[in-house]
Amino acid sequence: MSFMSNSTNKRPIHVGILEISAQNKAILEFFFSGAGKSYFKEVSLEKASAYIIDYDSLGAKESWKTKFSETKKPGILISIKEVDLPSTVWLQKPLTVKALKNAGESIREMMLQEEVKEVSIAPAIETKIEENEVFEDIANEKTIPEITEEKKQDNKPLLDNLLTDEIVEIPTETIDDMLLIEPLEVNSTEYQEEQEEQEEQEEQEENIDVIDIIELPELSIKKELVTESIKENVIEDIVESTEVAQATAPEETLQLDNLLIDDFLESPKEELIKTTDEEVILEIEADDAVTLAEELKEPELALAATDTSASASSTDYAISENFVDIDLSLDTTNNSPTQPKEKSNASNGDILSQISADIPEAATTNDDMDSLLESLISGGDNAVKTDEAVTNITEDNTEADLLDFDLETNEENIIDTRAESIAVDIENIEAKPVEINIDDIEIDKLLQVKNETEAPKRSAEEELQALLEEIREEADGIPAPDSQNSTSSKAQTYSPTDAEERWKLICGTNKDNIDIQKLATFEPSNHILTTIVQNIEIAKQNKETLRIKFKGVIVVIDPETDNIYCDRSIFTEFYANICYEPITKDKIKIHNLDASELRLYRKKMQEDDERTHSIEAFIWTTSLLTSRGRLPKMTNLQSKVGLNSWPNLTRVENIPHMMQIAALFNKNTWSLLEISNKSGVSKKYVIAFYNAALALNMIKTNGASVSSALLDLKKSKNKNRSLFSRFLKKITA
Amino acid sequence: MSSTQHKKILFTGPVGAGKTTAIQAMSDVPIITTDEQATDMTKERKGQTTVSMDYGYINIGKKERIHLYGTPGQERFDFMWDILKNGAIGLILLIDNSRKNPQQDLKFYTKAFSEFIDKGELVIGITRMDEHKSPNINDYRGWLQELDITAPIFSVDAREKTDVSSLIQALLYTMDPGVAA
Repeated sequence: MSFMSNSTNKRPIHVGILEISAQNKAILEFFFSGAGKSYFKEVSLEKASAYIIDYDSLGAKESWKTKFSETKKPGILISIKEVDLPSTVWLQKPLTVKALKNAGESIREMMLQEEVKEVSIAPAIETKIEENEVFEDIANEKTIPEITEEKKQDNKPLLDNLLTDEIVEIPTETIDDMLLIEPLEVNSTEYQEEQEEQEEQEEQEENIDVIDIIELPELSIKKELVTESIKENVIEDIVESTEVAQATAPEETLQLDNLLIDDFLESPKEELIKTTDEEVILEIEADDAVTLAEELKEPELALAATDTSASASSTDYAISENFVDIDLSLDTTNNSPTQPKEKSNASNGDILSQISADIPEAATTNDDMDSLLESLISGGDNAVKTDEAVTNITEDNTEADLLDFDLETNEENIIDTRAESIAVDIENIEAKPVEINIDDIEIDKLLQVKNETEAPKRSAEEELQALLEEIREEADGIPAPDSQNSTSSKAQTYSPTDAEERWKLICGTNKDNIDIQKLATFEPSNHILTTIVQNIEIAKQNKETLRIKFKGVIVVIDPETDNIYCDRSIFTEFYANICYEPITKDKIKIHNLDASELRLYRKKMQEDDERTHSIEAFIWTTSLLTSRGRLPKMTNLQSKVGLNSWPNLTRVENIPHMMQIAALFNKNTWSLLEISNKSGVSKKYVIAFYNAALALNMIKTNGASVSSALLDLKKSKNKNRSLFSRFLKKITA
Repeated sequence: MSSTQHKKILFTGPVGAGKTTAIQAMSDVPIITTDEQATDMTKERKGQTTVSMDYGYINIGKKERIHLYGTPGQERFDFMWDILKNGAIGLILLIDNSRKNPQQDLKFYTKAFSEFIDKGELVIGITRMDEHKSPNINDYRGWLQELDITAPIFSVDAREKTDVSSLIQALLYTMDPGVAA
C-alpha cells in the first residue's frame, strides 16, 4: 500500500538510493533539490516507494535482486548498457535531467498501474464507485446540500469550501484526497497510451516506407511508397520511365545508389530520365555519384534522430549550430537541469553539499570543499617532475656556398611562355566533352605535349624545366649548412648561458640605466623585414605564394597555410646579421610561385618542421633581430601606445618578461618612457617587445591617457600580489 | 604571521578541449577526475568524458596552494559550472580548434562565464591548432574584437606543461601587471 501514498501526479516519488557512485549521487542530490523536486524525494530505504541503483557498480545486480524480491517495489537502474528487468526503468549514463524526469514519469506510471490492480482487487469499493459515479444520476439528484449537511455532522467541513462561490482555488490537500477520480484518469491515460502507440505504429510504418524507397537496389519504386514530401507527378513519371526501362532492358537498369529522388524533383524530368531507345540512359559523373550516394544516407540520419536519447545527447551540437538560440534550445530540449532562478536561490551551503562527489560530508565553504578534496588525494608529495631536455646550441657562423639558382634569368619569358602554353591547352581541353580539372594538370605534361607540336618554344621550356629542377632541388632538401645546429622556436630549449647569448642577439646589450632618448635607431625600410612584411600583405591580398631571395636566403610565404618556409635557420648569427644590416632593393628577388612549385614547397614544409614557421613567429623573430635593442626612426617616445591584441606568446620566440610587458600594454596605454621607468622591467626587453609587436601591427597609438594612479603599479596592486608572485616563481622555476 | 591562502583557478571549455589534460600537466599530485565512459555523441571525440569535475592543485610553499578545477564539458552539466566558478580567481578557457564551429564555442563560453571577462580574469587557449590550421589565431582575434574582449589568446598543447604554464602566467599578469616573479 505504500504505492498509494505517492500515486498522484503532484507528489514526488519517495526514492531510496541503493549502490551508487559518489559523483552520480552528487548529481542526483542536486537534481532532487532543484529541477527534480517535483519528481523525486530521497528518503530512507525503509520508507521508499521506489529505488535508484547504479547497476554497473559492484554487487549491484545481486543487491537489486534481493531488494526487489523483498519489496516488489519498482526501481530506476542506472547503467551504461540497457537493462530490461520487470518493474524497472533503465536510466542511461551519463545522467541527464530529461532522462531523470522521464524515468520519474515511467516509475510514476508503473506505480499507478500497480494501484489500479490493487483497486480492482477490492470488489466492494469497485461496486460503490460504479453505483455513485454515474454522472447523470449525480446531476439529477441535486443532493449536494444534504451531502454537505452530512459531512458537517461528521465534522468534515471540506465540502463547504468546495461549494462556496468565494473559493476560487481548491486547496492542495483536497486535491490529494480526491483519489476516487483516479480510475477515470487511468482510463484516460490508457486511452492516451493507446493513441500514442497507434501514432508510433503509424510513424514506424511511414519510416519503413521511406527505408523501402531508399534501400531498393534498383529502381522499382511503387506509387504507395511516395511520401507527402514528394511531388507525386514527377515520381509517377519516374516510375513509368523506369518500369519501361526495366521491361525493355532489364540488364541496363539504373542503379539507385547513383540516384537521388530529390534531384529528380529539382531537375527537369527529361534531362534525367531518357527512354531506353537512347544509347545512354543516364550519365552520372563519378563525383556526382559519390555525392548522391552520400546524400542518400540522409534519411537514415533523420530516422536516427527520432531516437529520444540521441536527440538529448546532441545538445552539444544543437547549441553550437545556432548560438543566438542557445537558451531556447536548452529549454525546448529540457536539458537544463536547473532553472536559473533555482540556481540563484540555492545557498552556497546547499550547492556545495550537492557536489559532494567523493566527499564524505557536505562542505559548507569553498575552503572546506578544497580541504576535503585535498584529503582524498593520497601521496601528496608526489610532485610531478618535468623532464625538460636542455639542448645546447652551437651556432654555425660559416656561410656555405649555396647554389645560386639565379631565378631571374629569363624568368619573365619563361613564365609568359608557360602561361601561353597553358592557355592553348585549356582551349583544346574545353572543346572536349570530358571535363578536366585544370588545377590537376601537370605543367610538365603540358609542356611535353607542346614540345610535340610547337618546336620554337623549346628553349623557353628548357629553361622552365631547369628552373623547376632547381626548385625541386631546393625543396628536395639540400641541407642548409646550419641545419644541424639550429634550434626550433617551438622547442625553446636553450641552456641558461645560451639563452643569455640569444637574448643579447635579439634584444641588444643596452644597460638598464640607459637614457631611452639616446638609444640608437634604425630605418625599417632599409631592412629585409620591411620587404618581408610588405610581401606577406601582398601574398595575403592576392592569395598567391611568394618566394623572396636575398643574400643567399630563400623565404617562401604561403598565406594559405599561414606558414613561412626559410631555407636557413632563423636562430643563427648568420640570419641575425642579415636582418640587422641594411639591404638594398637590388639584392632582393621576388618570384610568384606557380602550382607545381608550390606543391614542392608545401611538401618541404611538411617534412622540414625546423625551417617552417608561422607567419607571426617569423615576423616576430625577424623584427627582434632587425632592431636588436634599437628603436625605429621617428618613434615618438611621448606617444601613448598599447596592444590591439595579444601576440601568440606560446608560439613566438621567448624574450624575458614578455608576458608582463604584454599585460602592461594590454591593460593600459603607456608612453615608452613611462612603461620602462615604472614597470621595473629592463628597457631593452620593453623595446624588443615593442618592436616585435609593431612589426605584427599589434600596436595602437594615441590611446586614452592613463590616470596617474594606474601608472603607479605599486599603488594599484592586486590584493593577492604576494601570493601571485610566489605562484609565478613556482610555475616558472 | 600570514594566514594560509588557498585560491582557485577554473578550467573550462567544450568536450575534448583538453581541460583534464591541462590540469594533469600542472598539478603537483595525480588529479581527481570524474570521468565516465562516453555514451552519447561525445564518444565520437573521446572514450571518457568528465561528468562532474576535475581537481588538482599546485603547492606554493608549505601552507599555500592553488587549486585547479576543471568543469565538465557537456552543457547538460552546466549546473556544475555555477558551483565550480564560485570563488575562482580566474578562468582559463580552452577551445578545441578541431570542433565543428569553434567560433560558436568561443561565444558560448565567454557568455556563460562573462563575469570573469568583466573583471579581466580570463585567458583563452586554443588547442589542436597544430593539427587544424583553420581557423587561425587571427580569426580568433577578430572574433574576440567583435565580442569586445581583449583577453590573452594563445595556441596551446594541453599536454605541454610550458604551454599551460604560459596560460596561467598570462592570467596572473592580466589580473595584476605589477606582479613580478
